[in-house]
Amino acid sequence: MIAYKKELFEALLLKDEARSLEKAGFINQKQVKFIETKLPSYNRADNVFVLLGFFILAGMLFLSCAGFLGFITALSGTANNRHTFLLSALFGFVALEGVIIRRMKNYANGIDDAFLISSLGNLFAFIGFSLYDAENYNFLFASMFFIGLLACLRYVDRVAAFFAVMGLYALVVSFCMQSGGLLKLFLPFVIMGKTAAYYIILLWLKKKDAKQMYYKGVLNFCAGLFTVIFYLSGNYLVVREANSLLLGNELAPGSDISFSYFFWGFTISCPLIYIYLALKHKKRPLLWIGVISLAFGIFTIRYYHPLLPLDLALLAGGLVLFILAYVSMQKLKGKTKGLSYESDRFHGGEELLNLQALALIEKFGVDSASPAQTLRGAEPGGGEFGGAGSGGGF
Amino acid sequence: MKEKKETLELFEKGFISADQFAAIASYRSQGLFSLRSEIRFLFFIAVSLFVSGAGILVYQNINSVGHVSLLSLLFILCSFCFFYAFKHAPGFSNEKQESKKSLFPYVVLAGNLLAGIFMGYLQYQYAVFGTHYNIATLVPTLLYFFSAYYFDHKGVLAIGITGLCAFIGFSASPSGLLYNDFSETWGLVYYAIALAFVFIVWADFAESGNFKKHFNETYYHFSLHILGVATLSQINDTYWPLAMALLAAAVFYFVRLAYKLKSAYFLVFAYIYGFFGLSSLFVKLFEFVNLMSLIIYLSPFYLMGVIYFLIKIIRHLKKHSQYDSL
Repeated sequence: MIAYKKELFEALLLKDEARSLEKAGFINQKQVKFIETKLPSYNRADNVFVLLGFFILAGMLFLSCAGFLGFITALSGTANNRHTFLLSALFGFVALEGVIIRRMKNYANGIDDAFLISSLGNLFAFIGFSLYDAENYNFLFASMFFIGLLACLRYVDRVAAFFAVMGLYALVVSFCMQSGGLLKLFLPFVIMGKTAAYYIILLWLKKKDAKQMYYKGVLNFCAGLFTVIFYLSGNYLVVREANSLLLGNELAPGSDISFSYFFWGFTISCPLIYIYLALKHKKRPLLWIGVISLAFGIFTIRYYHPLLPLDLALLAGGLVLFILAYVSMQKLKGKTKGLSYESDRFHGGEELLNLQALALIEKFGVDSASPAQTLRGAEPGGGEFGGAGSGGGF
Repeated sequence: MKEKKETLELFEKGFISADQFAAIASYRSQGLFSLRSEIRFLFFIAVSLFVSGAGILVYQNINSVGHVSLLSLLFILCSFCFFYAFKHAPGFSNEKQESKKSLFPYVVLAGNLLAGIFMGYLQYQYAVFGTHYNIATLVPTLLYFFSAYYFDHKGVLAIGITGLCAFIGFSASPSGLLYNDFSETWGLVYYAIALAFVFIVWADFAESGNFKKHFNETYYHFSLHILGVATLSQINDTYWPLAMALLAAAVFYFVRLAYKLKSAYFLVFAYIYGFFGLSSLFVKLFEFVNLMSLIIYLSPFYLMGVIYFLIKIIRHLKKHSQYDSL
């Protein structure tokens, strides 16, 4: 099933481990070099910029090849652009299998990612356009799920997994919408229940995969995806807006969606539970998801009940966060076990520092000097007067 | 505690010694879960929220009662930040240094951003610098540069650099840089290029003079992006050959720099700008000879060539560098 050779793929995992051990200072550089020469493996971009560069170039290559194919089909007179999508997708898969994986030995190198995403996209576009007259896209959703799953199993790819999961949910929503009645009414609960079930299946899959670990990254990615979807399916804002969007129920002023108390409670309590579980089981991704969903929960409250004007809310929020950070720093300082403020040898946290540097210029970067612009920053919602910039973190 | 499977396998294959394996196992069994970077990020978010709130508050309440007291309150806060910063500053040094206080960088950042708000306010309300808006930008910029060098703060340095760019007349924030309209003001693009050149010269000087060498990355970073975007924006200008020549020189310089610094970041971005420049040149060529179909036939091969070239380069860089920088 899997498109990669076992030894080469496993070597990749071992090399990763060796590098992280070296970074943490447990083994020396010579050992890593030795391991790298002893274990041949697939080529992978170890740096996000290299990945990005290859991804952009390979994406353009695919586009230009697809344009080439479209040109030929247009010349040949069968002016049905649907088939260009199919042709491009076929071309993409052949290139991926024959050249990119087998000859060039690439895995997660940017090139293969670009080709896989583009091919899948073209394939789904072909199916979608074919169904255009029928106006029933269930087949597209189903094929998104099956093809995504197959591609994910074969190419061990997160984006394919993403397509599969999205297809699955689209299918569920579309099914509930068509069957109407109770299912339609309880859609958020249906999605929540389904997500919980998928999560349990995922845990079982993880156990099965524990021996070979090929799919560890993909499964973790899916677990993160499910936690996000679980939260969104119960978030008040999402439920309310989806309610009016999907069901066409415009809420009369003064009225509220059914079970609104439950959804309000869920909006705030679910992120808190995530954060608690993350700290308890030491799961960093879950911690981030929890914090981001908490921020979204607070945004939800502000969206419907702006208790404070924006400026005061920002000031108060800043103060509260500062105190929270300060207290937790004081509490966790000097601890060598469990939760701690001391640095971990295995986890440097460079990503967050880089993000910080980028956010700083984007948010506080001084814009051009004209007075109109200076003041534009001071308008509500902008608030970025002052100026700053950064990006040194790279 | 069960050891990670990969580590176990490395051990079993004889790549790591028993001592090393034991050390790793004992470290991991402590179950340390460091929240250091998360807490620091929280500080950063707190400061940005607070400063944004303060900015809006000041400008929304202009001309209202209690405005002065509000301003004085913020002024006191700003002075406190600087007081704290001076008190806990490790003192000026040519080398990279860190304060013992974890809060230090965030207090410095908050103080500078608040000071920026004040100077902007003074200019807006009392027109301290009259219509010399450039000077109004330059003064806080000087403060940022002073703070960056004295308190050794890279973030404030980057703010200062964007301030300098704003003084010249363009925006250097990631999204702003792409939306600059260089054609609006005559010569702006060459001022930008000159500024980028000054950054490079300054960084080289700092390198040889051993003067805050760790700031160079920031200067190079801005220099590369300003040069890339500014020269590429000139492709349809009268003097496009000059701009392309400058771009070629910049790509050449930054590729060499990337090898020197062993940095994939500079390498990839230098080549991406070079690639866009080369592609624009081809498009330019076809403006003279209209062969649209030829482009369509040839572009896949052109891109394949570029990818092949990039793979070669990455391999080459990998061979000549430590693996962890790539």
